[in-house]
Amino acid sequence: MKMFVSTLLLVSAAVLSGGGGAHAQSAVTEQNLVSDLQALSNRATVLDINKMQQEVLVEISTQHSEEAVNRTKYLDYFTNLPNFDVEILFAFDSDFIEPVSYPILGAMADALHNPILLGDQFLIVGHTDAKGDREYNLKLSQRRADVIREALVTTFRIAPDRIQAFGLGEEQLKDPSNPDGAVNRRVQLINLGPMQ
Amino acid sequence: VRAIRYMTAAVVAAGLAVSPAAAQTISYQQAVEGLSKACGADIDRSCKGVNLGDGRIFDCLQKNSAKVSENCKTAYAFTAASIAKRAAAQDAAPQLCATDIKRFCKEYDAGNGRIMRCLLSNTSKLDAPCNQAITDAGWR
Repeated sequence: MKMFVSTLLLVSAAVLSGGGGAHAQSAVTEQNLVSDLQALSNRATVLDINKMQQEVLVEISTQHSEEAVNRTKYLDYFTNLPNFDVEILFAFDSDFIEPVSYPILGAMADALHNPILLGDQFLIVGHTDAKGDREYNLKLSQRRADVIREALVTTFRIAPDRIQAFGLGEEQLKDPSNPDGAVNRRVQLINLGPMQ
Repeated sequence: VRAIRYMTAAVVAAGLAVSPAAAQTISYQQAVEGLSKACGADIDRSCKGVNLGDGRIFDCLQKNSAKVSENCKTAYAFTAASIAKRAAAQDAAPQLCATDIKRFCKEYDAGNGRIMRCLLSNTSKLDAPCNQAITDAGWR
């Protein structure tokens, strides 16, 4: 019951902030993505991904509780920007994208080419569940975010300066009451606002 | 460029004639649908661990064509051709729309999608080739 309640809370929080999560992933279309990812203002969010990666790594090696990695700094912050949770399936313990997830990648590419989003920059955030070593999961999620970015930039020709990739490992679970649950394995697509 | 070369090779290998003047392109989502559905088992068997990025999956399926199912061959050739068509339209659009940009969007700075949005707001007045290129590029 506790798990159910916290899932509900997360879902309503996402809906309130304009984020996705209510769509069945098999049916996600360019239109779903564009409407949820549409910029709410002209404010640009500038992130130093290398610095963020270093900071998380330091926090992991010095803190022993997962909650120690500041949620407001990452997950809550991203949730306040236009965002969409995408379910992309990877092979176990690998950065190999299962072919069943190609269409959702294609839909992401269609959305990023849509004129409504064309001038905006995006962040891909990779998350794992809590099984396994924290630092290992951090690196795995970075590799997974990187291969999604690579597919978008090469095969689907999104300008490389429009997308950044960031792995958060198991540090920001979607459902902390169910740390090993599949719901935690996800990729967030976040609109950072207009290109600088 | 490398990806496109592989895609072209894949199309030729599958024996499909692709006319550059062929009708409207389909979305990326539709384009990869066939590859996703028809090639899952083949990728699992012959290209496990190979990703879509940089045309590597097409390259791998082609290299293993002796083992790849006919269904998958047809599907990936179609996917590769669709993606290549879209890429060609994206490359051709600036040239095909140059006159219209001068005519309607002179006062807009490049970047941030401003020129594209300007062109789209003048859709009814654009030259047909420019309009078609924008559609085929997936920019509406």
